[in-house]
Amino acid sequence: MDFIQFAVPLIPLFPLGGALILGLFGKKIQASLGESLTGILGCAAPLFAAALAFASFFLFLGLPIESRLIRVDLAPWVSVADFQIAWAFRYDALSAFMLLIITGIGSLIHIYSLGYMQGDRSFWRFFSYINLFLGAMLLLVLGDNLLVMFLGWEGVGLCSYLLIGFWFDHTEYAAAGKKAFLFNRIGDLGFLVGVILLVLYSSLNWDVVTLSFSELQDRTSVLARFTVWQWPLLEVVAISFFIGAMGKSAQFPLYVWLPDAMAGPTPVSALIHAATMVTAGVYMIGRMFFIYSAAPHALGFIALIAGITCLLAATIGMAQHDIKKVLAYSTVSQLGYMFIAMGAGAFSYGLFHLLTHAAFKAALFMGAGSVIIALHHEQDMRKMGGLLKKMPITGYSFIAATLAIMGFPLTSGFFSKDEILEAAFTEAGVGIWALGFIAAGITSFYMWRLVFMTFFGQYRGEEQDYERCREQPKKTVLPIAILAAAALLLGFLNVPDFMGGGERFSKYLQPVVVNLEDQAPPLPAHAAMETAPSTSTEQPALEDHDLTQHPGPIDHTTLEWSLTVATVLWSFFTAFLAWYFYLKNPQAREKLMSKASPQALFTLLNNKYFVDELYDTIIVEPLQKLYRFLAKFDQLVVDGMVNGAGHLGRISGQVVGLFDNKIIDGIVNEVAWFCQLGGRGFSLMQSGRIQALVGASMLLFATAITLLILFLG
Amino acid sequence: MLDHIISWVVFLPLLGIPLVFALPKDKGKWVALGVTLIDFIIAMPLFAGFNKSIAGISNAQQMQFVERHDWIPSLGAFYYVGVDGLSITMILLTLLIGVLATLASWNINKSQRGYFSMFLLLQSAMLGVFVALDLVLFFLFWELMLFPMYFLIGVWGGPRRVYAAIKFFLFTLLGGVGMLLSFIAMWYFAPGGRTFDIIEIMTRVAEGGVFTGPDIFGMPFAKVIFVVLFIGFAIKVPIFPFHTWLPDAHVEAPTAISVILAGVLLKMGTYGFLRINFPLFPDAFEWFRDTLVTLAIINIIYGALCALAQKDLKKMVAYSSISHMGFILLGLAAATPQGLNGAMLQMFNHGTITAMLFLLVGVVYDRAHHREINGFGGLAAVTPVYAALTSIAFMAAIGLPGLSGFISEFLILAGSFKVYQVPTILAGTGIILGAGYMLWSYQRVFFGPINEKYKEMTDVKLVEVLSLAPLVVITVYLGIFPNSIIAYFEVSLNHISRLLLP
Repeated sequence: MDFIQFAVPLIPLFPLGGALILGLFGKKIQASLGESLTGILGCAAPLFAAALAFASFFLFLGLPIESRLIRVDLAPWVSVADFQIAWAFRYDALSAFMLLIITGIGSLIHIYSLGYMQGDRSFWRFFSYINLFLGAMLLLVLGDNLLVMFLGWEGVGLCSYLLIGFWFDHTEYAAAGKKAFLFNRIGDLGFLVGVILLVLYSSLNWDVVTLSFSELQDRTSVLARFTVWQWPLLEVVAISFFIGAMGKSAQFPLYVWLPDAMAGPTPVSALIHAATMVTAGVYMIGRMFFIYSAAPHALGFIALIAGITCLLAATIGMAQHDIKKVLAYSTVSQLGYMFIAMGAGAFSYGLFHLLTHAAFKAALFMGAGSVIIALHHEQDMRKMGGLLKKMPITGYSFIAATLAIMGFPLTSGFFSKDEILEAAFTEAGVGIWALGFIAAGITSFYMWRLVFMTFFGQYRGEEQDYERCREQPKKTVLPIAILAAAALLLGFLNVPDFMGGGERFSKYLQPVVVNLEDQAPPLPAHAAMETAPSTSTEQPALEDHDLTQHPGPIDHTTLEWSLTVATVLWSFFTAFLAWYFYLKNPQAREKLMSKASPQALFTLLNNKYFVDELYDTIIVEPLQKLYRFLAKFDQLVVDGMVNGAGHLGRISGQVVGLFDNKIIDGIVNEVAWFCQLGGRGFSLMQSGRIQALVGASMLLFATAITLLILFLG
Repeated sequence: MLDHIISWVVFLPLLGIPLVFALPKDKGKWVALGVTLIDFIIAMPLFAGFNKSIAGISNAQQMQFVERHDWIPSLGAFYYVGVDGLSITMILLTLLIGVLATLASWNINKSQRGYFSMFLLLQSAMLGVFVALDLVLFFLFWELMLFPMYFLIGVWGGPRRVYAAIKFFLFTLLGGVGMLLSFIAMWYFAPGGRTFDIIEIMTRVAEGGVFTGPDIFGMPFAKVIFVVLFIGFAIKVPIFPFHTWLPDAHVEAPTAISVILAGVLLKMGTYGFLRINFPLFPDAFEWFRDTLVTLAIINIIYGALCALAQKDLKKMVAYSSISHMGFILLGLAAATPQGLNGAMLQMFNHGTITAMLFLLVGVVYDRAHHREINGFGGLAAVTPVYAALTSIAFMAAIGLPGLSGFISEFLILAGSFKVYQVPTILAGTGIILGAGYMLWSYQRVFFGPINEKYKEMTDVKLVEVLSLAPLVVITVYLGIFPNSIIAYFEVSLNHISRLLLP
């Protein structure tokens, strides 16, 4: 307990400190002490953090369930009136488990980077960035309140910007970084609106607002009574936060940044865009499951968006030639699965898929990176083939991870995906299940297509490249092998009930994250709804919903088994198709592709449904027109009026002067003199005679003061 | 000395002026540096001895370090200075920016004596504005600031400096004349007897007093005076459509003057709102609030969109300033404790962050003699330290959590959401646009292939680092411990909130 108290703040501080040291002195360290020492320094921080995280976790498991929540209050952060946010961390079953993924996989990826980034002139900068990333991610996960979480949330966004544009001398890489940051920002506005809504309604009802998760959980039942913009408050809050998740976790339609983000070095793709950052949205929903549990419409919305994302990204993945792009769309699609689980209220299943996906997708990305390096930065799969013989460790690890992602029985992906589809079928509706089900087959197709194009068949690139292609050094392939093994085995942590497992992972999370179906029927939120007359109409609808969710008398186990078998058969079938078209009989594929409609479909998919182009047409171009117009408006109209007034002053001065000279000369001498002076004053101001200007203003000032003294004194 | 500490702080820069003329002309910068530093040091007892738990604002007993002497008895004007939470924050900002701007003036070599004497005069005038508690004194300092600023832009500026200086001068003068007339009217019709004493009037207003004067052009007296005053201060902020002097002034002004202009001068407008304009006319404020919110949103979005379109780096920063000042207005219009405290914090943070941005633009201008955003490229590889410093400043301007700008923007949004939901969300889109123009400019200047012309560009020099480093430290520190500055003004701003939202 004391150890955990002590260790938890250090876990993010190690990588943050590492980032600071490397950022300030890394260049000198690399120049004087060499690359390997820089690398060791870079890996030390995540390894220390991992050691602390694992030690804390084992101690934590020894604690009785009731005391499995440790809050570490460090200092106040912002306090204004009733609004009091602290620097505080929260260590519980959920964050403990996330820490293991982040520090564990993070450390492996750091070690892998030692080899991958070898010889890069900015080796130190890379390690500084990924240390910073790790620190930010740990803050996100450990944050005890929404603001600390948001700090990490934005911090990982910044690091992803820096890392995607790591090789910034390529303009398109830098542009990809910018795109990622901007799309994340659009989502962040949603997150911010969610936070601000909670601040507002909390401060209306309580004296102090801390935004800590325990406080929010306690207050959920009261917050559920309110409506905002004619909607139940919690629905709006839930959807606002989900918009944040759509940006960060690349959900439709904000997913377009993630495939471009593959411009970054491969370890970055593995760490940020597969294992950790993009899952932040899933974690966030898990962390605030109590809000989502009380927002059925928001859950429906999430499930729908997730289902669309899942299928859409999978189909795009079928038609990419760049090995990393395939994996990128695969990531988007897999994130869709996680959100399907969240939308179905099966929070622990989504989090479990987060775990298994982190393992197999990191292995896949690192495997792809190993291939890319071996082929001297070749990423086009059309120029690969037959690499299994050359790179056996990479190849077999990659195949193991592919088995996991396709859901081969008893691998981790099998269990985690199966649970999600089952929950989708019973909780979110057959439509959502169908989206996920179809996507499962497509996943298997594009993954095996990738494997066959890369590791099997004939090499299709330059002969001498193939000759020179080697298996990568140990520090590169060992992390891949470890992750591949994890990808095969992790599934046994959460074997579903009907297969005779005990859902141990879900039970472990129970104290902090409770799935909708396991929650006691009279939810506090529902109870509150009964007392609120405005939302009382919700009540019957909810009960109907409940009835359809649990088809009681039908044999549940039969249903679950048949869903499982169907998914497995469908995945095997598409794997067979990939084998047939890409290995066994490529002529058949070419024949098929020579026809018009498959070709059109391929073009559509290859161009990602032209979503980027759509964004350009409906947002970017109008925005460009608008700001160009406004800049002109500002210059010609707003400023034009100012200049016009200046000219008018000058002209009227001249006119008065003329008038005075030619017509009234002598008659009203003094008045005219005064006018002329005024006119000249103005004209001098325009022409820039400083003395005149100072004189005029002095005069004005003096006149005003004189008037003041004479008439009002 | 402690009895007259405020006078010392305010007038010390003036005492430096004879010294500037007495010493050889290349010593001017050392005098200015010495004076601004000493000024900072002698102000320390002010910050250390400041009682953070009393509000001031409308309570004369709670004003601290007060000095009050007869000044123009025939007018009833007093030399009346003192500080409360509102003032002391601005004093801190002014003193800080003063030192850093001196460092940024290190390369001035055209009539140095003139430059540094004007510079010191400006410093005194600005400090004076923030401590004056008498309307006449306030006005005197306000106008006094105008002259050195005019010369600093008009003589030491860029190619179109004269045009820019005159524009600045005329705009401010226009506001100043209105302000003067309003002050006279306020004195004449002050509730409960004529006085120029700001605190005294505010006490009476807080006790229910109202300005009752004749209608002006068929409009109620208080509303007219409120609007005229508002325009006077709005020109300084600047608020659309009175903003066009700002981009010109910034583009032409030398770096140090841009730093002062953006860092301190703009805040005099919002300070005026808080010290005089809003709490003295709470009813008119209530009537004007919706307009104010509209103006705030226009500033935020219009400024951001104009910034996106700019080709000149300094002009881009200038328009971003307009956008960020819009957030302050939003917080003021909301008038909730979070909104006001956020606005006040934003005044400080914008001062430091924008100062940093202008210093950074100055660095590149010094070397390349132009500021075309598209005229660079790949500088991150040539000048890595400069690129790193710029990225911190840009991220702070974008409002990245962990840096100071985020806290103030968050407080403003949280505070204004209570009152204005849709405008707050619109303001949020301003944050997205902000990330857009900042990152886009950053990318064009620092990323991409190295521009052959600037392959040999030197990285930041020591004096440049010295002027930037304190700002970086402050930006990071206040991102992590914002309470250390909020504590100075929270009680005062909460008090204003109570005055405005009874």
